[in-house]
Amino acid sequence: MSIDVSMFQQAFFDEATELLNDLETQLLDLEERKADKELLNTIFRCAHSIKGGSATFGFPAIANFTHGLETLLDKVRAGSIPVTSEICSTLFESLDQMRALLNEAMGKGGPAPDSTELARKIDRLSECESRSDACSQAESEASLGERTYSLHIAPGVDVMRTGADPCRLLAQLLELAEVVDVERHDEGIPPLAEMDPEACYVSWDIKLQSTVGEAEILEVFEFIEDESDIRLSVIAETQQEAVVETPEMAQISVDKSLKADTAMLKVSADKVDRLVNLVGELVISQSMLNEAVAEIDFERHPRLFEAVSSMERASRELQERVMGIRLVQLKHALARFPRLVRDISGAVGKKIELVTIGEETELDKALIEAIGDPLTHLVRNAIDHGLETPSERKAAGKPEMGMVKIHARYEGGNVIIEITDDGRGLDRDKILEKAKAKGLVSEGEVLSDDAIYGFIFHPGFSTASQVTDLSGRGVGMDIVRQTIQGMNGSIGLSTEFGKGTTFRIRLPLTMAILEGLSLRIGEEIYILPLTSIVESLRPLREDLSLVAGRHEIIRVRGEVLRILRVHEAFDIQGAVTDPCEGLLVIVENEGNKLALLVDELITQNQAVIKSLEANYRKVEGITGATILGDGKVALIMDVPGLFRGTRMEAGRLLAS
Amino acid sequence: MSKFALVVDDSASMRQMVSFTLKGAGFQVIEGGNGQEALDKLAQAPGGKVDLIITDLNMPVMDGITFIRNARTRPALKFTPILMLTTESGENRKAEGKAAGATGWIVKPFQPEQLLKVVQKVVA
Repeated sequence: MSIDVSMFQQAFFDEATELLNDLETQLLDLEERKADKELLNTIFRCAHSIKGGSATFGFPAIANFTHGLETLLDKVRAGSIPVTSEICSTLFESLDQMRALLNEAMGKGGPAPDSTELARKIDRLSECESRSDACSQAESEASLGERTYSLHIAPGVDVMRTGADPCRLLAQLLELAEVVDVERHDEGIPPLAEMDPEACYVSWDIKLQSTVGEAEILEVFEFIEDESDIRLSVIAETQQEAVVETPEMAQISVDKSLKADTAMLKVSADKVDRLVNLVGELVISQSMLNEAVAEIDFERHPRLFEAVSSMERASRELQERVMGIRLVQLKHALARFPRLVRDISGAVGKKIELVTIGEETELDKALIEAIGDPLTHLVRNAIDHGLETPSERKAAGKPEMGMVKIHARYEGGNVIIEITDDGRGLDRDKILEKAKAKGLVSEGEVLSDDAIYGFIFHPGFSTASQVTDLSGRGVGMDIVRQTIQGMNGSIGLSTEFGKGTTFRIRLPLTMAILEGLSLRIGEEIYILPLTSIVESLRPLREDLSLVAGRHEIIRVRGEVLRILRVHEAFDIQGAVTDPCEGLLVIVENEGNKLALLVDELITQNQAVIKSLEANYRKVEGITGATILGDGKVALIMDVPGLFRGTRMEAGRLLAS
Repeated sequence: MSKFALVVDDSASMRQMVSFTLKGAGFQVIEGGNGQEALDKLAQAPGGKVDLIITDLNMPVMDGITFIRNARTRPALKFTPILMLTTESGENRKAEGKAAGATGWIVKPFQPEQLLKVVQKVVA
């Protein structure tokens, strides 16, 4: 059985993708530090590794292209070619080409563009006329009749000091040829007192018969030929019908179990998802078990309780670990930004420094994939609208170099990603004016600053007076918010005119499990995501009032909040209708608050989210369903949806 | 007694392939991502001694040539066969490697079978 190299292809793909990402970072650095020798070495090594891997694992197109690039880089790092801006941009072009070729090899994104033109440019830059084939295979041996050879071998005195073993080489020879006669010459061995046990003093004259060519016999000694005296001559040749005899290929028995013996395991996402689902089921069964056990007399079944509690610990840990499998570092979503910022800054003529903090923060893979576009949009916006031109910045007494910072960190069970720019900040008055023009604000309405800034998330709302190539097309912030809400996350902002803006994205660690509070309305149980709950309270009669004859509101420590009767919104019979007899749960979304009227709170629990859309259909105000400990189904409330339902965008206070 | 091999390469896929091939040939394999890591990991082999070393030359932290030179100074590795992974373009590096104490070389790209053929030249 021979080894199929294609089984290492996935490892090569992963590695090459990573190398290309590294290369991108290094090339960006190179523009700053053109004379950095170590950096040039690293860049060369990157290309070198990609070439080596692609040739080995069967991707000649990548290998051939990268070969030319490697030649160029070798000359650059040797200092014989200076790092010009032409070199830099060619390297970036090459990076894109290698990516395209790699994607093609991975079967993603269709065929790569033709490399010929770029390859020629690289060759021209490295003053290299022709491109040698990086993947030429060894020529096949011509078949020969049987020959008799005379071979003289006098290994160099020091061959053993480089780990060579002449006996081993002679044994190799036996695999290729039949030995007719051997004459050993011991004359060179010195007297014992002068002998160096690590030196080789012996030589041989061997008569061989073989059908293989001279080159193949000499190849046995290729490692020692420089320091040794090796002479081979043909002394007889029998003319014979050529018998093709391929050199015996080494047969390898491969133990399948060895395959798994690596530090990293590649598992398909499907398998992990199935595992996540199963663990979800397990968590549900566990809580059902807990409820059932709670009704049993503890005194009489101590062992049962012990078993259940140790099982609970185990399944909780299992759940955490399984969820952990899906977690990926944010780095993977941020990799595109240095390049993006470089390209955009060039296009808009602004000087920008990109700072990233907390790249190692981990998030569910699905979230990492989904967050890329909203982040890109926010960074583009920050550069295009947020940051001023160098001259404007100078005039404002700021450094010419603007800054865009992406800062990620954990906060409770959430991940916070902040995109900050030190640009001009949002123009409160301009936004308010625009909102009035669009009929979003009625005359005389008093709005908080937060509410006003919140308008930028409104569909079709853009204050950019000019639509640029990059952003300001009116689609954008609302889509960004929608996408983030779709991930059970939220987005808010803070800004200071003239100082800059920060967008704050809050995301759950995973989308599969939700920390929730179960509550009762009538006979129905609902789940509220814990992250959106501020507090719950039973109101005093005097804090309640009616606005505009129909809107119920409550005053909480000076703040005025609208009350939403959930039983009315969801049409539930038999629920508490008097807020003073039920409970008000205050929920928050993007800085806006709403008081939900419910009957009572039950308990805090982990809800395994089951999609309602996948099993039924989309329902307004509901994000999904979960199965409770007693096997009943509970619906999970969609807090942003509830806000939309009340048309109380931006926590507006109605002027009374 | 099983034979030990040390595989040194900064490319994980290359390491994987070489290791897998050697394991199939009955070696226990220790891997290092660069020369320094490899030197550190030698402690995992009994007596710090291995029967075969296969090393890449271009690596970060400690390159292959420096690694070979270092390994050769260790008494346990005085006669250990050391094969370097070279490329066609790295012809001059063969001489450099040999001077540092390498036994032989394998030119990339190579197939697992070719690797074993070369390994058999230096290890029984």
